Amino acid sequence: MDETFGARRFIPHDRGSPLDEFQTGLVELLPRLRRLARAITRSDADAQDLVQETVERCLAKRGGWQAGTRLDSWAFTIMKRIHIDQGRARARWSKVVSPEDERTPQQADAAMADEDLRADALAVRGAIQALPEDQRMAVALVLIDGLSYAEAAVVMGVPAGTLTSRLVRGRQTLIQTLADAGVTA
Amino acid sequence: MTIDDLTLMAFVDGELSAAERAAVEAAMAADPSLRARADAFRMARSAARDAFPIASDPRDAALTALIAGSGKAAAPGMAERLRGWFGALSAPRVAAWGALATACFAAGIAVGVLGPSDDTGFALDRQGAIADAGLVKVLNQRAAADGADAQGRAVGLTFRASDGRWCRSFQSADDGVAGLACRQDKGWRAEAVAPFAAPAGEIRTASSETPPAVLAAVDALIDGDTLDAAAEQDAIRNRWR
Repeated sequence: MDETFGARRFIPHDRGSPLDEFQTGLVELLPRLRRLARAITRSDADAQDLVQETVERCLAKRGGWQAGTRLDSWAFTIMKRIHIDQGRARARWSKVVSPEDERTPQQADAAMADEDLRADALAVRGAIQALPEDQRMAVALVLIDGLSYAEAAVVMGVPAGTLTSRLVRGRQTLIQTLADAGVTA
Repeated sequence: MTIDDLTLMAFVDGELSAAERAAVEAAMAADPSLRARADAFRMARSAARDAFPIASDPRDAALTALIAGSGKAAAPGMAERLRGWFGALSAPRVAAWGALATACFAAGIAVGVLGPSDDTGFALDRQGAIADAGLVKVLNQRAAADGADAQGRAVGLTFRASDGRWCRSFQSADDGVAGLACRQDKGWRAEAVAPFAAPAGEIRTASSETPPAVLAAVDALIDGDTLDAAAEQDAIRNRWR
């Protein structure tokens, strides 16, 4: 991880107590939570909802986190569960057969346009968002957030072999899509 | 050992043991198509990572308030001020610093939530310029050797940025903020902020430790060396031209 600065930071307060380790950790995790949400949902609005719900659930289930253990895996697992539940709810109501089926890639939404991404990066985003749910999550955790296979398997709640097979399939598709689109590294 | 896509992928991701790695390298030496395939996996990895950069986001202000207040909503007016702060700190050049933006955003918002009232103390305007008159005066006129003023404000390093702007690191113990400001449009623009706690009970001096996020910003911007006392006095006297 390249986003941490030191083990613990005291956030000064002129009244009352400073933020504790859990609160500080969760605040510092927000950009990574947001990035993961962007990678696994299909729109900026969905991503925002997912981040909001994840943070609320993390705060509500705070007692379930053990100090000294990985806060990121714990929070990502919560986000994953919410996302799957949301997908099931959407499937029930919109008569989509299964989240695992290929969907047609949606157009890059307007929010992405003003992030100053090159056209290549937008093509990559589209390719990832077109992946089936499980492959997309594996790609997001390992390639985008940078978790190890073991860490990603924990978040997804599957054996390492399942994680790697989802990852390799997602990546094979990505390689093919990028080659077809003429995108070079 | 079979060198299939799974193996090549694990090789690229650094997930193989030393022995397995050696076996893959040997196979690649004999078969260049394997290396090409591994490169494709590597390229997909960096393309995916680059397509989703870490960036600060104004909407995280309310989330931070939620986390910090453990459920209490931010005070009226505070949410608007946080959005202003946030907008300033998430300007494109800051977002390009990736990890630095993360630290600044986390620190800046925490300070915004927990700091003094809306009317006094450390504040930024919508363009990210420092709106705290006392701090502006310190940045304009104070030397590092002067130490801290009565409000615990002090300057640290002074230098020229690679784009030619004058920059100074500062601390404001009363506001609990340290940072880096660069002179722009006759004002001082905050390039980095971080929480800062002066040691309790001690006389505040300018030699208190500068937060790593601020030092990182100095490293990112500096062109050449920091100014010595004489050069610093010249710059002050010349009103930072």
